[in-house]
Amino acid sequence: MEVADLLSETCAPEDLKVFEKHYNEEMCKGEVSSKTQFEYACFLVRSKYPADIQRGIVLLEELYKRPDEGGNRDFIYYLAIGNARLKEYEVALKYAQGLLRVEPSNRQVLQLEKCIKKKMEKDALKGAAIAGGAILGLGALVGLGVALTRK
Amino acid sequence: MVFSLAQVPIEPGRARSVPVNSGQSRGREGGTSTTLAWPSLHSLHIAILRGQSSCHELELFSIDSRLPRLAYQIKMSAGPYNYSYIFKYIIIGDMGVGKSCLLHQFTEKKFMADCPHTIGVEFGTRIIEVAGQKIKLQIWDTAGQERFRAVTRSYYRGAAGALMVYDITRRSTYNHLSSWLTDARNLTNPNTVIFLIGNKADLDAQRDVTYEEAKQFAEENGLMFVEASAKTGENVEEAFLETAKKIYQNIQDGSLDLNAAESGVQHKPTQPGRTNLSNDSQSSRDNCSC
Ligand SMILES: Nc1nc2c(ncn2[C@@H]2O[C@H](COP(=O)(O)OP(=O)(O)O)[C@@H](O)[C@H]2O)c(=O)[nH]1
Ligand SMILES: [Mg+2]
Repeated sequence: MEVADLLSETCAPEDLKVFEKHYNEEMCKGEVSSKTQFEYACFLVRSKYPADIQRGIVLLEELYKRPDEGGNRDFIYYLAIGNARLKEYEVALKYAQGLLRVEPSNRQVLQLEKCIKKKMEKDALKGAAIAGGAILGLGALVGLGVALTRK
Repeated sequence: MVFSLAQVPIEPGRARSVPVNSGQSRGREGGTSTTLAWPSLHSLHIAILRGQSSCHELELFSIDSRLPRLAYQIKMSAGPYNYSYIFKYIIIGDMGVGKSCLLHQFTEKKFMADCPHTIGVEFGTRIIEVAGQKIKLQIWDTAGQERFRAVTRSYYRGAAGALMVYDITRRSTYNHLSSWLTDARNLTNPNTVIFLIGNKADLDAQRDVTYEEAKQFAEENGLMFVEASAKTGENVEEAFLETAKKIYQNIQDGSLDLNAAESGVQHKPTQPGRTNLSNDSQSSRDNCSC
């Protein structure tokens, strides 16, 4: 079992395969139902492979445009998750904030928004730690040198 | 060798050491080198990303006056675990029985009257204490709607505890319990502790399911059981804690094998002073309790 939250947990590859199969079967028959496509997309955006997530996003965008689905908020929510997992934080926040315009007090979406912002900050910090290395000067290097030579 | 610092004594607040760079760049400011060669930076980068350097050692960063903030942040996110186990829970049951409200009551001690339907799954965490051990509960609250069934089922795997909820004022939600139970039994492991909750106990006047019959159903199926109210908070704490106690008991008496991939329990032995930076990603993720 992996330690997880919404943006870092991943689905089991065998689960993804099952829903991929459903999707392909319907595709061969000529028409994919919204349910099948949605299920497949939900597993795709939880894949550990960015290419899968990207594909999930495309499928969700297509679902969102289907007239009979009337712009369901579920698609937007998963679009936010998918984009956040691709580190497209600005896009992800746009989706989350779009949902919040309709339901300003939706706790689940507020938490997702918070989570995206946290991930964003964390990535920025990591970037700063690396870029910051250039201006850290002696201290960092001393610490690091000790750390490395002890290994 | 890129640089060597092994013999240089480090004293917090004073930088007096001379890193020997790969090239010729020696200290320019009287005994103190400020010139960094690329390979060093590169190593720093790798060390941080791979978590090769320990938290303890990173504290040394603060010997440079520009560093305290960075060091503080790294320290914060790399701090030792403040819990020794993680238990995974799922909350299942029909739509509208109050699963999300129960989660919210447990994690935030608040009741939200107008709770929109859950999309897929919601996530919450809280650290509790059982027998002097700190345990982190990682709770997946599932949407009851049929359209999410495929998604929600994929969260059952590896759950150590399952809270199965019905609404005491709606008989249909009680009647569906056997199908929820079948799902839970099929998709979790035999040691998963299943706790039945009859929610909305505050609405006794509208009661549609008696306590006695639910109690009997629970006994027949080997489930723990309480009636609770996410609104008043009655028995909410108890349901989550009793489940954890039972899981902990199963660990103690050896019936739950922690090494089994799907046990739903992770053990986190704490190692003071040698907390590895690889914990960094872990604990930050944990902080992100969405
Ligand atoms: N009176 C009362 N209402 C509750 C209680 N728990 C939840 N509700 C209400 O029941 C509805 C559904 O709750 P929710 O948590 O969204 O159900 P879920 O679909 O199972 O997650 C909401 O309107 C809540 O306000 C409770 O203990 N007492
Ligand atoms: Mg809910």
